[in-house]
Amino acid sequence: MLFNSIIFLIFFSVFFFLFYYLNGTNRKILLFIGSCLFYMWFIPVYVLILFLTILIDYYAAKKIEDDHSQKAKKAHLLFGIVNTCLVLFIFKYHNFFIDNFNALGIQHLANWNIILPIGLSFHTFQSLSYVIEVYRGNIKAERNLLTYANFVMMFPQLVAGPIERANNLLPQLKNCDHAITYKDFSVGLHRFFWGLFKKVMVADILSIYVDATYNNYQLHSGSTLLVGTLLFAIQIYCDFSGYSDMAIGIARMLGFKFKENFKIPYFSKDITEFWRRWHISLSTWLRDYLYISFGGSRSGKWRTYRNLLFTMVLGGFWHGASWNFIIWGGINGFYLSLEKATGLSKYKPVSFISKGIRILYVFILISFSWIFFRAVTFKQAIEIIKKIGFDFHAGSFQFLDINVFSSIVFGILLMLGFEYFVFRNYTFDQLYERKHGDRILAAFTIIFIFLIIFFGNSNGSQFIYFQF
Amino acid sequence: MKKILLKIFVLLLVLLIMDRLFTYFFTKEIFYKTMAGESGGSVNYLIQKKQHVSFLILGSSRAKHHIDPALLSNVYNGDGYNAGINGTGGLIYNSLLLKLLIEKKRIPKLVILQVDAYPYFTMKDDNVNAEISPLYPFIDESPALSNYFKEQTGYAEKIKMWLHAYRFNGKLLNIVYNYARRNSVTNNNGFEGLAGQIDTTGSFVPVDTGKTFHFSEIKMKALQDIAQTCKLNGIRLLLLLPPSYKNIILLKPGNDAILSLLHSNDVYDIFNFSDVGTIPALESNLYWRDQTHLNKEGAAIFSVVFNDSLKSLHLN
Repeated sequence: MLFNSIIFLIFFSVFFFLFYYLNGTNRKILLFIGSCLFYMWFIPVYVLILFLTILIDYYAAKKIEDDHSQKAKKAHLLFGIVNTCLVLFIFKYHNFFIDNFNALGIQHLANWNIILPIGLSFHTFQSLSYVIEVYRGNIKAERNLLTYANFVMMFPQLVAGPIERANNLLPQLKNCDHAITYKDFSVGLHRFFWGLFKKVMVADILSIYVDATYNNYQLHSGSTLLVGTLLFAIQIYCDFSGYSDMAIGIARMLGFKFKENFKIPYFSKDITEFWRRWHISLSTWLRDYLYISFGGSRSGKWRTYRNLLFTMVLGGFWHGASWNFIIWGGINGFYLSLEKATGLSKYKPVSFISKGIRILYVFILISFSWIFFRAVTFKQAIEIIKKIGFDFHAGSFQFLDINVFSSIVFGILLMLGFEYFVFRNYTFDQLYERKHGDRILAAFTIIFIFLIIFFGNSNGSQFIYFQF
Repeated sequence: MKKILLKIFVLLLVLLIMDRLFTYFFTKEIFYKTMAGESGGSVNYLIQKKQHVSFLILGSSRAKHHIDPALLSNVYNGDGYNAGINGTGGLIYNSLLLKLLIEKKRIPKLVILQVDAYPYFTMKDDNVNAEISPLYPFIDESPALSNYFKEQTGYAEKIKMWLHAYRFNGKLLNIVYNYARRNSVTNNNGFEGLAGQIDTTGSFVPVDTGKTFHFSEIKMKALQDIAQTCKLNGIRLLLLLPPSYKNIILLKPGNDAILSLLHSNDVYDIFNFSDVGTIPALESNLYWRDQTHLNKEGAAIFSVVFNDSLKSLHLN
């Protein structure tokens, strides 16, 4: 089920009223059933995979806590990690390795004809962090299977995050007796429509131009492909942060508080800051469980650079089983290492102009890396870079459909305006607390709804991050 | 809960009031005054200004950018209007547009319908909503359109339509632009020549005629609908199959299926130029803007050739 669909609106309206009036275990059961329904809307049988990973990590965590020997704890941790990763490997990475073995002539194996379960990487990481935290002794193992299942499956964050940590979400799910306040509902509702605006009015309209250029890259000049690339940078931001806003908003309407996942990343002044503001739940996951495990910055500068590079490469590989994602991660790892080596992130720009230059620098570097993320093959990415670099004629730039292009410009300007002047300075909670805050938010929501109706892509297209 | 319900109620009420007020004034004061463009402006022009159009060209962008009515001197001295539409100009749109015009008593003597077999063979997903959405602003004015909407669109589209502003989804900027330049629209016959020339460095792979394609039933029904509407209203229907660069979208089995369907509906005026070899001049890349569209120089050549072939019909 997609957040940007009418069926979700109907589903959530019914779900909300039932959830509001139920308490305790009944609420938990409702949340579980609702999450199953939500997930089964895509490919019903895949819910069994989800159940399998839930059972693996539920028992692994319990065993880790119950056993007293450090060796046994470690064995249970390994059991949890290996089996959870095995599920991910089978469905996501098996064909990638087969293709590479075949290409190297090592083996000649056939690919498996399987569809990747939606959001598999997200709930795998969420489950893994839970087992690791239990092993580290930072949290207690959850003894109630239903509560734990809800932690992994809770539908607002099930298919594309944010990757919630157990220490934040599990305590909220434990009793499920919390009252849903008017403020929770109101703030959540407005947050949801802000996300919907970014997805339907900005990202989905941008996708028309980006798809037209990238899918027929041979026919377009370097200038058109450059604009397509820069627009993809905005598209993926609006698509993914829009999803996160909707997820956070839905959870809030139900009285749950999720962690922030984006903090206007394109206003960052260096790449390090960008990664602190972009997909925060993944960045912090990578930092806590990979970068620090590799040794972090404790063993000298060269090892720090190596750790950064490894972490980002694995982060890239998490996104997709393709060399393009690995390269994308590698490029970002390289940026981060380079910044660390030069100490750029320590120099904070002061003047408006220098801030602007730094923001532009981040946007251009990040956009370059997105080429590998968006291109379907490595060859396509290289061809596009070549065209941008060596076949660049400003005069051969094509708007394609002027109606679509003007909607794109209008949408981006509106989105940036709201981000820069409103949401850069205030959170939704802070806005709500201001004088007439609720009315101001309601006015914003009405504006967003009208903009969606007038300009939005009404086809209910999928979110980019669902494929991960 | 009371407070939450009240909030939802107030939000919906404000939305509904604003929606109705906005749609009413926007439709009356701005939309109806646009006389060009694909967001309803060209339909307005046909309804309001072209009260006695002799012939009407229907079809996709390959009609809009290929046939200049002014050059069709052998058909009612060129007194026609090109109502082809970019992007979604499929048979469903054409069928409903024709019905809308007839309901408005704008009955042409002749309809030239441009078709290509390829899109109707390959489109697995019958995206009815996308095809009929350019006509949404007229939904209250056309019983044929509103009935089709009720019968063929899903519940999601119907729910969205509760807000009348949705009729202008994806059209607002275009309408405002055409409203702003409404006074500069002169001698409008719907034709728009394209500038530019095809980049021949790319590869040109013709559609695979060896594959088994399936016709979209809903689109074939629309084609039959057009034939029957013309028959019922005494309109002569003429079919045109334009060429493509290097025959990139020439699909002979598809063309045969379309022609056979039209024969069974007593339509025999068929002008088949789908093989570019029938007009040797157009084999040159100089006259193509892209693989499926002629540029304005190419369109002029094509219109003249088409006009010559129409001479035998004695339509003046």
